[in-house]
Amino acid sequence: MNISLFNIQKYSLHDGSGIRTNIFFKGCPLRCMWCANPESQNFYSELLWDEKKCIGCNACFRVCPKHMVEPMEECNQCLLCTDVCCTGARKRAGEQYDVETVMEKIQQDELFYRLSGGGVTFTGGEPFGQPAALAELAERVKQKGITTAIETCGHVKWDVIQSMLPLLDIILYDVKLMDSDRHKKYTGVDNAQILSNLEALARICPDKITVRVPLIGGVNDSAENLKELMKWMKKNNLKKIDFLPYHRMGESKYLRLSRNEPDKFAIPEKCDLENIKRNFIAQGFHAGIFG
Amino acid sequence: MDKYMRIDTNDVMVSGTPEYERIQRLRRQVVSAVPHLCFERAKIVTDFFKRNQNLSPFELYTGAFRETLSKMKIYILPDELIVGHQASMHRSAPVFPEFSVEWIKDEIDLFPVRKQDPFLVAEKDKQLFLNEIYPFWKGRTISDKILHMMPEDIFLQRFPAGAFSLGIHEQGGFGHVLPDFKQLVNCGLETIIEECKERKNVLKSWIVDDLKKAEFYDACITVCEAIIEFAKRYSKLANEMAEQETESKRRKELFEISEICSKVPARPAENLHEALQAAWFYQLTLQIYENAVAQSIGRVDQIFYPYYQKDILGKKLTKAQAEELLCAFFLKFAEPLKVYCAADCEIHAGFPMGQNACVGGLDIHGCDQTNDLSYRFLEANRHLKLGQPNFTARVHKNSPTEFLRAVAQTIRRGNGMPQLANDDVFIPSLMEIGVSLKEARDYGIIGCIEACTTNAWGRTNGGYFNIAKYVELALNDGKCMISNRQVGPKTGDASRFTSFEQVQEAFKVQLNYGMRLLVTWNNIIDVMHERLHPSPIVSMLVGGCIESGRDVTSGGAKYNWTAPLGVGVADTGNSLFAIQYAVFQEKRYTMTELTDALKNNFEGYAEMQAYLKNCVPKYGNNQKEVDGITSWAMDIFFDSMLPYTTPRGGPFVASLLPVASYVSFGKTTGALPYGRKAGEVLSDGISPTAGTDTEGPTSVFQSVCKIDHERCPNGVIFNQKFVPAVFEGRDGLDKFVSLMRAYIILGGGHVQFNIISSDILKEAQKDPDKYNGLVVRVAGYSALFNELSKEVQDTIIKRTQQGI
Repeated sequence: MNISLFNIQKYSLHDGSGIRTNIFFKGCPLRCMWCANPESQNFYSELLWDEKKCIGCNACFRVCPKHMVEPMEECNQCLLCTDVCCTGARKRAGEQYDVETVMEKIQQDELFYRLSGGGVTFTGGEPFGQPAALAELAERVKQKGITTAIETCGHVKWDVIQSMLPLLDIILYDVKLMDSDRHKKYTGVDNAQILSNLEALARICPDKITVRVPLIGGVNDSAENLKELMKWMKKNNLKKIDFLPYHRMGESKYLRLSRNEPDKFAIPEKCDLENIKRNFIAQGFHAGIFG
Repeated sequence: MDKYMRIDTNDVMVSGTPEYERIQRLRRQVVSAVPHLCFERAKIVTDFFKRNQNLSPFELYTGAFRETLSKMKIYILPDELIVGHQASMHRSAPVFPEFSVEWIKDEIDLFPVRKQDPFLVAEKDKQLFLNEIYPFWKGRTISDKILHMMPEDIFLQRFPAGAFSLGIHEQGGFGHVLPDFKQLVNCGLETIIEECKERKNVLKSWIVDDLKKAEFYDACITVCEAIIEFAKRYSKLANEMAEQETESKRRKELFEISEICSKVPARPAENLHEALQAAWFYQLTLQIYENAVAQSIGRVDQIFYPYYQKDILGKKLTKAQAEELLCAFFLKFAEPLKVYCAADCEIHAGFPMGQNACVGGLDIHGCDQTNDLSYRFLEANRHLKLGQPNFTARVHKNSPTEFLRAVAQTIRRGNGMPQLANDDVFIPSLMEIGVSLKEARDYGIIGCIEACTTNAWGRTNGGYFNIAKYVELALNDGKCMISNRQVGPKTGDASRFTSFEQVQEAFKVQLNYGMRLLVTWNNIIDVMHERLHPSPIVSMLVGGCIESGRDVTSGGAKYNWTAPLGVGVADTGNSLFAIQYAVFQEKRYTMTELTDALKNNFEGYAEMQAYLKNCVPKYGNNQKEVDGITSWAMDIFFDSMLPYTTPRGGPFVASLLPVASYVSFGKTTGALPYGRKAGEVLSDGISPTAGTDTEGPTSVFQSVCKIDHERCPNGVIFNQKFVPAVFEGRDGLDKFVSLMRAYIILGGGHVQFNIISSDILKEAQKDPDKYNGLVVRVAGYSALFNELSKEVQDTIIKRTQQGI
C-alpha cells in the first residue's frame, strides 16, 4: 500500500520520548493561518520552487507541457520539471512511498530508539487522514517491537482513532482554541469533533495523551483561553501539556509553494511563556515548552 | 572505603572559592600572553655546536640539552603552583635551528603579520638569528640533510602534486609518543640513572654493539641529570622568591614549590603535587629537547590516582584543593608552542601541540576503571576550556551512564572536549598489529586520536596522504591536473574506460604507487633521524629501549610501527560513486564528457556539476551503495601499506586523520567527479562532505561506521557539530548520551563534538576581541577560534548543523 508523505525525518528529539523518526503524512483537514509547514496541507503533491538554487539550465522549460518558466498561476502541478531539475530548485512536496520503503528507513535507526527509549512518530499533516496506510504502517512498526507516537489535530472520525488505539503508545493531541467560533476563524473548522474525540480518548487512555498547544500571540495566548483549557483538561483528567511557541520560520515555504505570504502573528515573549508554564505547573500539570 | 573517596560527579571546586578564583586568574594569564619567537635556546644550542663539533650526535644533542636547561631563563609567574616554562617569554615558541633555518630566514618578517599562528619577533632577536644563528646552520641542518636524500619520484608527488606531505618530520623532530609517565612519577629519574649505570657496567668494551649501548646509556644519564639540575634551579628560584614574598600564603606556597622541585623528578613522588610537578618537568623538557609535537601523557586518571587517593584519605588535601592542582597542571599544557612554517601552519592551525591526556576506559583486566579522579579531570576541563591538553575520554559499550553523562556535560560546556575513543575498537585494533591483550587494554591516546602503548615508537604521524588525489590521477592517466606533470604511473586514458572496474583498478594502481613513495620517504626519514638526531629523552621512558640499550630511533622500543594518515575519505567515496552512478548505472554522461568536465574544472558544465552535486547520493546518509564504495576505497588504502615494514622492524598501520590538512590538500586537488571544483577544501576526517549529510546524525554515524575502524589503530577523526539546543535539560543530555552509546556499539573509533551555533562563530569572526577565549574543534584538536585563519574558520562554520 502507498502512503503520501512529505518528509521522513530521523533524529527527531521533540515529538515523543527519546530519539525518534518522524513520518510526515501529507494532507491536513485544517488550514491554520500560522501553519509552519504549508506543504503539509494539501493531500496532493505540489511544486516547491527555490529561485536561489536555479542555475538557468532550462531543463524545466524543456519538459513543461505549458512551456512556462515561472510556475505561477497556470501551473497544473504535473511536476515533470521536478524530475529533471538537477539543482534542487524545483522539488516535489509529497512523494508516494510504499510501506516497505518506509519500514526500511525506520528500521535503520532501531539501535538509537532502543538506547534512548525512542521510536517512530506519525505526524504531518494529519496521519489519521490516510487511515488505511497508517494502520498498516503502525502495525508493521509495532511488529518490530518499536514504539509509536502520533501527533494529530484530532479533526477526524472517532472510529478511525478508536480502531488505531492499540497500535499507538503516545498521543500528542493538538488543541488550538477553546472557543469554537474563533477556532473556525483561524483553522477553517470548528472544534466540536476535536474536543469530543479528546474527551473520548481521555476516558480510555489518559496517560498516553499529551495536549499540545501551538501558542500564537493574540490568538490563543489570552488568559481566558488558557484558563478555559486548564479547566477542560482538569475535567477530563488530562495531566500533560506542551506549548509550542509560534515562529515564522515557515514563511519562505509559502513563497516556494507560490502562495501568498501568510498572516503574521505576534511571537510570544519568553517571559510570558515561562509564566504560562508556571501557572500550569502550579495547577498540577506536567508542562513543557518546545521550540 | 572512606566516604571521601566516593565518586563526585559534580564540581567540587565551585565558583567564588579562592581555588576557583586563582585558576581563573591563571587561565587569564595564559590566554592573554602574546606568543613570541624565542631565540634563547637557539643561541645556546648554536654556541654549543660551534664549540663541540667533534662530538657524536648523542653527545651533541644531550650536551646541548644540558647546556640549554642550565642557562635558559627561568621564572615563576604569579599564582603558579606547577612551575616550568618552555621559553624565555610566557607562552612563546623556542626556535630549533638544528632542524631547519631556511624557512625561518625566508619568513622572519612574516611571523608577526601572517594570518595563521602569528608570532612577534624582537628586532634584536631577528639580527641575532640572521647574523649568528643562520650562517652557522645554513646547509647543515637536519632538514637540509633529509631533503638532500629526496628522489625525483617522491619529489613530484610530494611537492608539485601535493599528494602527500611529511613536512612535520622533514623540518622537525618526531614526538608522537606516549612515555611511561607512571614509571617516571613512581620511580623518579635517579632510578633510571641507576639502571643505566648497572646495565652499562656489564657491557663488554670490545663488542661493537655494546659500545653503541654504552653511548646510549651515557646519553640517558646525561638527560636525566640535566632535567634534575633544571628542577633544582627552579627549587632555588622558588626559595629566593619565597624569601622576598610578603604575602604569607604565597610565601608558604613558594617554599613548598621549592621543596617539591628539589625532590622531583629525581626521586619518587609521594603526593599529588609532587607527582604532577614531576610529570610536568618531563613533559616540558621533552618539548625543549625535541622540536616536535604530540608528546602525550596518556591515562592521567590512572597515573595520578594513587597520589590523589592518598592525599584525600590522609586529609592532606580537600577535593577542591586537589582540583586546583589538577587545573594548574592542565593549564601548563596550554603554554608550550611550536612554530611551523606558513605552509605547515595550514595543516597544523591554531597550535595543536597534541599533548593528549585521557580518562576512563578499561583496565588491563578488562574491567571499567573510571574513578573519582576521572571526574575531577572532566571538571578541570570544564573550568578551563582550553585547546590543550588534547583531552580524551576512553569509552566502551559498558561505560557507566554516569560517566557518559559527565562526559556529555563537559562537552556541552563548549570546547569540544573530551573527544571519545572507543576501547571496543582500539583494543582489538592494536592487537591486530601485534600488541598483547593487556598492553592493548592499557593504551593511551597520542596527538589527535592515535592509539598507542607506552612501549611503542609508533611514529604516529607517517605523513598526510591525500587519497582523493589518486582518484584525480586515475582519471588523468597519472598526470596531476594542478601542476600538469606526470607524477603517477600511466594507468590508461580514462575517457576510454568502459567499466567501473577499470576506474577502480586505475585508482588502486595509482594509490599503491603513491603509498610506496610515502613508505620509502618515511623510511629514509627514519634512517636519517637515527643517524642525525637520536632521542634518549624519549627512549628512556619507552618500554624496550633501556632493556635493549637502543634508542627509539634505532628500533629500541618493543613496538615499531609507522602510521600514514589518510585524508579525503568522503571525497574519494563520493567521487568513485558518482562515476559508477552517473556514467555506468544511469548512463547520463560518458566517461569522455566527465573527464572533459573535470579537466575544465566544470567551466561550461554547470548542469553536469549540479547533477553530480545534487542528484547523486552522497556518503554520510546511511545509503548502502555510496557508503559501500567509500569503505571499499578505504580498504584499498589500508591494504596498500601491508607489504611494507619500517627500518625499525614494525608494520605500517593506517589512520584516517587529517588534522587541518584537508584545507591545504584541497588546494592541490583538481576537480572531482562529485561536483567539487579544483581547490575547494576536502572533507574532514571520516566526516561527510560539508553540507551533504541531509539525513541527520543517526545516519552519519551509521555511514562512518561502515568504514572498518578496527583497521585504523592509529585512529579515525570524526567531527560532529551540534548546536547547544540538542543538549538542553536532563532529557536532552540523556538523549545525547544514548547517541554516544549508539556510536560506541556501532563500532565508531572516535568522535568529537563541537557544541556551538554557527551564528556565534560568525559573530566571533566579525568581532574577535569579544570572543577571545572561544575554543573550537578543528580536527582532532581544539584551538582558539581567533587563532585560526579565516579559511579554517569558514570551514568550521560551514560544517553541517546537526541540531533541530
